[in-house]
Amino acid sequence: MMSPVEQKLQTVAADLLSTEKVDLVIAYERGTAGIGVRPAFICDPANTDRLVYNPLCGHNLSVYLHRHKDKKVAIVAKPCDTRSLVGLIQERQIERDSLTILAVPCEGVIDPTRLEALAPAEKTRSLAIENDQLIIETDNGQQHTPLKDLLSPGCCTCTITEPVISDQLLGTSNRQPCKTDEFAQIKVLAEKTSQDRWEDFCAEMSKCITCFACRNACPACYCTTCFVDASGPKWLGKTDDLSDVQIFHITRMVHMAGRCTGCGACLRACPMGVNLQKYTGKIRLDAREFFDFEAGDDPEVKPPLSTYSESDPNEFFM
Amino acid sequence: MSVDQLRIIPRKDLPQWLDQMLSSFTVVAPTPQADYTNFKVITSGDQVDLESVNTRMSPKHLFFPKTERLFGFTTDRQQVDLDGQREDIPPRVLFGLRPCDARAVTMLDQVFDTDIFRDTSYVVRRQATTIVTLACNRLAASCFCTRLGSNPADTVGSDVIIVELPDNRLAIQPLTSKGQDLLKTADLPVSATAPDIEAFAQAIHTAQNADSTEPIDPDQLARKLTTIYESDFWDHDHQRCLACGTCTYLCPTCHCFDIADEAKDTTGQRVRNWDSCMFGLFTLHASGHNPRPVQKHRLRQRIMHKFCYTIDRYNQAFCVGCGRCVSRCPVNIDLREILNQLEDYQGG
Repeated sequence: MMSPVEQKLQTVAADLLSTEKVDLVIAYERGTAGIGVRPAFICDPANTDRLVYNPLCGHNLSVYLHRHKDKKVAIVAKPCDTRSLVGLIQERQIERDSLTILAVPCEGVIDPTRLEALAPAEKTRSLAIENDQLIIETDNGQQHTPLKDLLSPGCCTCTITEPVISDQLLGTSNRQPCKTDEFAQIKVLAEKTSQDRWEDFCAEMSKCITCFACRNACPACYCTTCFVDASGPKWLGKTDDLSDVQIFHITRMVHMAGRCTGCGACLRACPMGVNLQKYTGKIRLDAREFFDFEAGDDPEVKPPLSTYSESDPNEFFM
Repeated sequence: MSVDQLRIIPRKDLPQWLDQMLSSFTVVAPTPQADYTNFKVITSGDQVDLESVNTRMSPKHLFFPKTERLFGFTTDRQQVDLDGQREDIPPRVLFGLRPCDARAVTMLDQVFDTDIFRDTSYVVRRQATTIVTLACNRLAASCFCTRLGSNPADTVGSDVIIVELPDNRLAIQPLTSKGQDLLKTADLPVSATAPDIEAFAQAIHTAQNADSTEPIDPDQLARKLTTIYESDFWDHDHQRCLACGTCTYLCPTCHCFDIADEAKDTTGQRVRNWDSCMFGLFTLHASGHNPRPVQKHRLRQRIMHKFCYTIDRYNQAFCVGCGRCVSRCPVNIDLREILNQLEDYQGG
């Protein structure tokens, strides 16, 4: 059964397209596996009945806006996704006027890895979401699991319950910001010895196959030519040697300073389960501690890497 | 299939058999890594994890490494000295492959070991390897080997096939002289009784008929693809494609590579790295021109290569239906769906 948000989404999308207020709606549709969803690109109002919205809708769709700069686009955005949109507006990657933000409420999105562990597709007959429960039907009967036990890691400590910017609210949520410190795990890692931190980093990086899914799923990674693809000059080696892999990630993460909103798209896209958020989280924490800056908070504020103030802290200068 | 060489062992004795192999061979087998398994060199038989249907990475890196040193070089600016010494590959057993992955190796053979050209690094690795395959007794949700004309007990590419019998025993059947040699070295008594042979045949039959999906018709598909190259068939799926290398890097048959020099000062090495047709850089010319400028062209290329060009050239689709690209694509680009749509497509 369609939820009120889905009903409203379909109506609004059809209206925006048929009145030619937008050329394209970027949203979600059912995928091919179980209850999975995938990004949908709708230009014809007749196709808006394909659109869905549920706790599987994890993808941060703002990554696709770079490909549609010549169009008027309506985009479905969860509260945390709106922070990526703010970043893109700040960095003048998208025109605010040609964008219609359809803000959807979010109770946290389901982590596909956790879902797979709980309900392996080959043993699961059907999956359904009813209110705040996931209903799994296997050959051995029905099992109810609270959705909150399946949330993506970032959602378990989420403080972003309201959209930062929007044009149409497609629903509201009573979700309260989490009180758990989202940086708790990162602070523990930061307190460790440099040797221990290095070992942690090496272990995480050794899973990476440099497929660039993290980079390509990241809305803030939009350089026309990524430094890793440049050949004149060539900035880094491209072998599977651990040092080449690490240099790629370190450079990309440094480039994310004051820009990463912690949306978790990198983690969700990674086929090898590399947890980059451990390290991008440290960069977000630094942006907060050094510059009192949260990426995606306010389109009017200049990001720390785009401005300079004499009162900037400089403890980290050598 | 000749079954006079059939060996039967209880499943619990598998680690001992692997330990026996380890005294004469390097053994590479699925081992746990994070929440999945991958092929790794083992040091003890009990490290092997055969529970998951497929490893996360395919075993292709064991024949065609992600980065391979082709040669080293040193220069004093007057002349260049080359060091062509290759990594030594000891005799090894690749244990616990699934039939789809073993079949994929025979496709790589057609690329890297041909009458016209033999890729030394590949051939050395291939010759040093005995492939011991474990037939599947269940299908993962993303499996579609039967669509590609194969089945969960396919023996193509295997030197030895292991089939699980219902009573927690394993039937082990050598298929090639390499397989015979392995069973001579890591000896197991020929112990199969007539009922065992019957059970083995039954298990093979069950696996072969586990999925009644109609296989694709490769020739028909290839012909159709040549006629719809410019059609609107390609206008949709590319929109959500992130252009990452997940599908191609996890694929057991994708084999495109890039050659690069990694040098510092006066010494360096020439390496061969995996590359991916999903990347814009893959076709970027030195002039700046890119013949596949957008993702639509790149996704089309992947489908054309697997289901048209390889059929023209090698007479088979270069896809074994392992399902890795299906299950790991971050945006659900599903080859099974594309194949279904291709068969149904009437435009052109």
